[in-house]
Amino acid sequence: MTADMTDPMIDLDAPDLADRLERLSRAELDALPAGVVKIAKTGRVLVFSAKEAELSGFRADRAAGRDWFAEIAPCMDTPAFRGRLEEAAILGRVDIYLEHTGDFRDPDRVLGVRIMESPDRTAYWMVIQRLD
Amino acid sequence: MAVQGAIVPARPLAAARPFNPARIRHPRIREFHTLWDDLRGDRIAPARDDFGPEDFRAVLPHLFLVDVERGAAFRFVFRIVGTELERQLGRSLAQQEIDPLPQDRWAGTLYGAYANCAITLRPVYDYVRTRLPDGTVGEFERLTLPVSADGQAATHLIGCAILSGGFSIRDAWGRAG
Repeated sequence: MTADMTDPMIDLDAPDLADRLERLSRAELDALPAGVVKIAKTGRVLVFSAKEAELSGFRADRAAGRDWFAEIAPCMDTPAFRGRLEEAAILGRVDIYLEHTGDFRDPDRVLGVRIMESPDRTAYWMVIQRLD
Repeated sequence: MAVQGAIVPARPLAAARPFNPARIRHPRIREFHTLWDDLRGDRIAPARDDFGPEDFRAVLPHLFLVDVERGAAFRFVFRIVGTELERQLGRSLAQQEIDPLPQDRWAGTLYGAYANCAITLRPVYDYVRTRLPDGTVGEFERLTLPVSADGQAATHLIGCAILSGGFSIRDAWGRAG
């Protein structure tokens, strides 16, 4: 079942979600109901929220500064995930939602991932929800 | 950044949790899944002969039927491709083999989904929603289903793909042409 993309704290389906995430404090990011990751366009992890650490089982302090696709989520280094992200970047400012199968502790878990370009266009915000 | 990862899943998912059809958004795709599920009954997948021409009518413009050939790697060859899919791509795909090389990203997503389905003999569902710079939202859904004569190996893959909103397959997947 598709997860509800809305929450009283922040509308995870809002068109301006990247702007909103950018304004949140680290504590507020950590308190969101979905995992939040921010990666530089080079792939380096800038933010790995406490909720994402809790849901994924991957320690936040081990994620910071590492390469997302090479070291943390190589299963997303595929045409279906990274390829679509890069094609969306060619179209313009990235704002895509896709469903990806494979979580850190559960390779069969379906993730709903919204990826948005940061307002300064140097990074991507990813909001990760665990679906079925 | 070049995509480096493998496009074939690293492990079979046969023992994995069952596919949840509630994930399917588009009613025609959901109906096609129901048809496939009814035809297979207690089997892991229906056989090609279980399908009649009337079964395809509702999704025909969006339908694809692919031959599966097993060797060192899977080969997938389009047998039937719906008119709407070919119109979106701007070319005919019938009798075409899918190139697994990931530099063609459109084909890369296809090959990965098809290989996943052929390996696991389970439905593979793709959903992507893109908000374009002008605010238009486009959606792409693709359901790939196994067809098997013996329940051991896929002989064909069948499914449908539907785009809605303001973008085309070529916009969504790059210059596939």
